[in-house]
Amino acid sequence: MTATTITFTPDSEAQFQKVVVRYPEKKAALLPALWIAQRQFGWLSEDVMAYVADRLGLFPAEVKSTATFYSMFYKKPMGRFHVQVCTNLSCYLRGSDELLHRCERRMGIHPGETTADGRFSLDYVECLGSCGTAPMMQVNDDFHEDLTFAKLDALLDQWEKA
Amino acid sequence: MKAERVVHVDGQPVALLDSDLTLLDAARRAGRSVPALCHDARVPSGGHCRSCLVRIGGRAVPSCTTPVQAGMELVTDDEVLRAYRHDLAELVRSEVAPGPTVDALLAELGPATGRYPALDRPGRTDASHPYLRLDLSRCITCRLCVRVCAEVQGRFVYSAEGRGATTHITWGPGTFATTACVSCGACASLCPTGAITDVDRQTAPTALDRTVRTTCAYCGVGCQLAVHVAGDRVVAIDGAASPVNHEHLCVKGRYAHGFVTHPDRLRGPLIRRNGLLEPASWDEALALVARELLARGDRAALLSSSRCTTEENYLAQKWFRVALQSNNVDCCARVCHGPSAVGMRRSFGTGAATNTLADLERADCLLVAGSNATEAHPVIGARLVQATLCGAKLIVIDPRLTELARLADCHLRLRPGTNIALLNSLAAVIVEEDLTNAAFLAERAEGLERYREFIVAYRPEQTELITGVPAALVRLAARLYATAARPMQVHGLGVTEHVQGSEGVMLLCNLSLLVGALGREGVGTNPLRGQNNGQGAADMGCEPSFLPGYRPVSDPAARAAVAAVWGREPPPQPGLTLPRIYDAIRSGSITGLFVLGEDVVQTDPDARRVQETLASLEFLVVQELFLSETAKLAHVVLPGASFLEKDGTFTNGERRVQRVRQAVPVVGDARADWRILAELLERSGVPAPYASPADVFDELTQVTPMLAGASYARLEGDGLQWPVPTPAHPGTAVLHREQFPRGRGLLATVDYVPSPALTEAERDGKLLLVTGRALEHYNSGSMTRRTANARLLPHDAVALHPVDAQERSLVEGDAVIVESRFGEAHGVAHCTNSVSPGTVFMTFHFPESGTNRVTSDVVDPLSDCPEYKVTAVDVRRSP
Repeated sequence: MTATTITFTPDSEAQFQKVVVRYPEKKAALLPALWIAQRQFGWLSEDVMAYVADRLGLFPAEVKSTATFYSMFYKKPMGRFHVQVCTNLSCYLRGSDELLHRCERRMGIHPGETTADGRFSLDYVECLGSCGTAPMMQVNDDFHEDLTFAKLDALLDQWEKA
Repeated sequence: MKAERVVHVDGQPVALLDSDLTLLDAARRAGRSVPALCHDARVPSGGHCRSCLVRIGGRAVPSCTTPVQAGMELVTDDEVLRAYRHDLAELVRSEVAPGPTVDALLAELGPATGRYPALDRPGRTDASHPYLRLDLSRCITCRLCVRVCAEVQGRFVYSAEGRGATTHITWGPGTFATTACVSCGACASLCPTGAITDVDRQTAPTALDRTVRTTCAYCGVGCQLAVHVAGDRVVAIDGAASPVNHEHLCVKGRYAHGFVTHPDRLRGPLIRRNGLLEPASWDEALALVARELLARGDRAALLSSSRCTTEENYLAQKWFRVALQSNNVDCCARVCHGPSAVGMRRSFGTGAATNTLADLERADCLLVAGSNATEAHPVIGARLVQATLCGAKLIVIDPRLTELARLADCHLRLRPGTNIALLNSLAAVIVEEDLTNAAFLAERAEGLERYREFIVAYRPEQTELITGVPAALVRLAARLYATAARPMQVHGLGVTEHVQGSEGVMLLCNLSLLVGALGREGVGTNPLRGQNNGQGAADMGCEPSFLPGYRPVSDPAARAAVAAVWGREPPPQPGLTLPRIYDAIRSGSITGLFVLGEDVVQTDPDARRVQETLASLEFLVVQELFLSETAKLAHVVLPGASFLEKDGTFTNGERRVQRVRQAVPVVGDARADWRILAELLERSGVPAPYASPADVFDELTQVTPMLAGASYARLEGDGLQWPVPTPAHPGTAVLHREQFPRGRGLLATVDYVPSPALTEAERDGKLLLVTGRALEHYNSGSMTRRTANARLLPHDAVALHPVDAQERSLVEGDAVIVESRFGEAHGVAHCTNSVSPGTVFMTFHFPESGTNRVTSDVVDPLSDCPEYKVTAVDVRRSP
């Protein structure tokens, strides 16, 4: 088996054990199990998907077709800072496309790409449910709201040095 | 009578049948041609493509997935639907590379207008597989391949990845040949666009001359084939619609037919002169065979063949019994399911499967004992996998971690050779925990009181040390089995090919009796016959003590009955079984042997000794397709015909008699085996006025009571399951409904006795060798090795546990020698945890590996079946 070197950390394993007993069938734990795996490994490689399949008694193809359906499961390595700019209606009306272009220019990449140094990944996303503070973006697990060029530049400066 | 349920299809009233489940069923039965790109009756509807939209009132709904209800008014064709379909076709065109198949398919939906720009989707291509070619630029993402692979074969090779317009079909990371694909070919047979195709078909002539329905001649499943023929050549084979295989096939049945015209085929008779086999005329060869064997009488013996048709087996035993007055008639069923016949005859009175294959889907608990069905009986294996995925409980008794074992709710991974202890312990739990069917036992079983006392000694806590299976797991399995509504057993050679093989089968019968799982649908004890016609050969009396229809040769009434048709009685004393025939050859009391379609030098145990024994014969005749290891020793070699070159019948493992139909002419100067045998009968003074196998069949039904009502006319379609006692009888799907032929079922008390091999392994620290089949090859491999299956699996592997490998300093791929007291075999080391520490597994498909030179001469005393499944061996690196 190719996935022998891939295994959950004790922390991931504890989370996995919790979700796997939550449903009448192990198969139902696939999405939460993929989340646990993505949190640990950063993205879902073929080997990681095969590992999750093995742990849940599923076929690798079942896991792969499920994982590839969802854009929030990453099929390639992601940058340290995953910048997700909301471009839905409220944010758009308040200039999110300008913010996104600024990100592209500063990072030198387009949405869906990752910088060569592995620092940034850039994406545009649909509504993140924070219209009252538009325009906004999510970076890793945090929201950054009421964005302006100045605010965005300051954040990017900070992460470039981090 | 039920009130008629009616729907209106385009205004026309249609009475619904029970088989009309969806709108599509109803529309098509009304004669409307509704397109349905992603629909095929072989897989559950997916509703992916939307080409089958029909209108109900103002709503357009997919007809393939919408249940039909009485009173519905369907519109299958109007402006709106045509516009939908046309737009759909344009969307598909934008995603797929143009080609004749796709274009023709989409033309039905509307003309190409270039409404949408081409997406230029890169299509993955692959040519790594010997039988399949993939070019996914032609793929319309209908998912038929994904569904058939998952929902029929159960391999999950394909996946639909991504979403929306970028959804695409793909497979694992490497080449297609490295995936979990088992080459069943179902994807290629369903693919509507040619994205997945058979290599065979790519080079095929476009015009087929005919399609012949026949029965597959590999394992005992009895799949129905649709053989496509152009000129004298088999172009391709598809599965035919049948309750046996539902159009599904395996890598052998679908693809392994190239051997028929292989240059190695014997194309004329051979006679040994001055030590060399030389071409001879049929007249000379047949005269010599008839003269030499007739002169020997009962000093001659016949090894008939489960590979040949029922008619041929009938003629062969008739020739020996009537002309030679010899009951020394046996066949290869001796070395595989002989114990099933003996054991089930002792327990129930009939030595055949109690139920039918359709019951696999009716059972809610499947006990698979000693059967690697996904490799040895792949189409049944796939059905077992599906039944399990659909919720049936699965208990697997096997020392190896087989595909089924991986899926099992309970895998009872016993030490090889300890079946008796394990099966008794399952029964002990059922008795101890009061899980028996008391009413059934009271009415239909005998020996219960004695049995209750006996079985206490086999509590799983006691047998754990023998079998290595934890008691708690045995208890769990016993409860699953006993509390199921419809528990069904299937078993294979892992039960029978042991020193206590027949008794192992009787213990399976015990389990069925204890829980009352007999005489109804979805239950029973069912041997998976290893060979295509093991059942038919046994039915025809290719056994030393039975005439056709299992009537004892020692019974004067039975002899008189056959004499009325044959004109002469066979001798009253039972003849010799296969191992005793070898003994008699060695002692000089048998000097002539006729071997029909069997390579005993490669497949019988202690093969070196078999070879020496046959070499000592005064006169050996081998009727074969190829110059096999056995044929190389013969004095006369008669070239027979393959199943694609002749007519007849095979009887599968569920007692279903099915037609074999000639698809192509016999190669060279070879002849259909029944013609050769009829000629030998004539030359031995027994009239054989058969114009065709139908005449032989008509005669054999006269001496075989369970087939008395069968005829070729009645075998058209799906054949008949015996018993068929009268011409009006519909055949019998389930045996023993009211009572057993022996009256009550026998609860057998059988003590576990360790095999000599286990004792030897323990004493000398040896490994235990288990032998068996691999998916890609069939027994001696004489047929499959001469096809591209040899590219899928080019050698016999010696599977051993990494720990055992390390102890012997062996690594994956090392050439190794496997050595027992009996001889040496050669193979390639494969380190895997699919075998337990202390055990080794090896196939026997390649003559150069000589697997059966290692296996022992130990036999089951009740059936004389050899113990192929345990031999004490050493494994070391080949110098």
